[in-house]
Amino acid sequence: MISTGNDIIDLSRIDVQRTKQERFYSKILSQAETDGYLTNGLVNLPFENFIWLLWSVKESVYKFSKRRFPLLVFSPKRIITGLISSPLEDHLPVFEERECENFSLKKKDCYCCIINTETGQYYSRSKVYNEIIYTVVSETENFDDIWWGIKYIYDVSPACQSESVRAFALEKFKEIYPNSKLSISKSPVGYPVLNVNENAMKTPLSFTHHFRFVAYSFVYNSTMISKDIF
Amino acid sequence: MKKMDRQVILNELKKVLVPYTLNKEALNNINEQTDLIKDLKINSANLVDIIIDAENQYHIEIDMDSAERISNVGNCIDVIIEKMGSPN
Repeated sequence: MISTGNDIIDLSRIDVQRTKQERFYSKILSQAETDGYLTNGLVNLPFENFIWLLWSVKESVYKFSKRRFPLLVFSPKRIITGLISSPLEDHLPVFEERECENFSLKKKDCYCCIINTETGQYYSRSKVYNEIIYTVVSETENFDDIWWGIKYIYDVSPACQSESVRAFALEKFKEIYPNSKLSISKSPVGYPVLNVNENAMKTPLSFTHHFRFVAYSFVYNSTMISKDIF
Repeated sequence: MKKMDRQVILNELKKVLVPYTLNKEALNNINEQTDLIKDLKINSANLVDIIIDAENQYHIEIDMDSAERISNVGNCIDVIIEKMGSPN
């Protein structure tokens, strides 16, 4: 069963001082993971961003796994992140656009990590901007079939976040399924399901939102329809 | 430490949850079945904040094994009562 998982952190909403307290981050990271800040040479990243980067990776892995294991409970310390590599240019870019989609998830452009859990091994690609941290997870090192998008929203109410991320993803699906009736529903487990002409697709789809930002990820390539994977 | 009445804890917990709750109406109608994420629309990124605020409020330590059990208000009260009754 193919899956996807993504997560976004709006850095304007994090409590920087609290994040840097051991009492806080020790609930999320093991000692070895914390030490990775130095051993992986990530010191160009502010320490609080490092903590939230790993949170984002762990949350994405959880979402990926939850589709396969519906009873799974989010337990950040049971999701173990390994070696983390930095993008070639590791300054923090500004998220300048109101929305962006499908920029490179190549290794050289992202923070990359291998993650191990009781449910398997996963790979992550994270983009860190001045304003946000965004992560997508895959079970292979190939991210070519992963589609993703991030959008800035003005109304941060829960209803608007939910509505905005659905509309944003549906705009992208319209390019793949032109002239079809598209909608998104929710599975009993809680993950989003794409419906095409009122038929539930198997397209793995993941939504995330945090305050001013919403994002989606899904897995798609042109052979999927012909192979009846959907 | 003596055990507190569940309703007292619920009322105090409500105050802890205020800064993280986007659905204020659901917070006004909070009960033990209220789900922190689905009903109160609390972002998962704030779950550790809530655990630390609850620790401060009740002078307890909530390990992550216990924190895993917290999905609704009732679970949260269970963990607080359990930790208040156990030596730190």
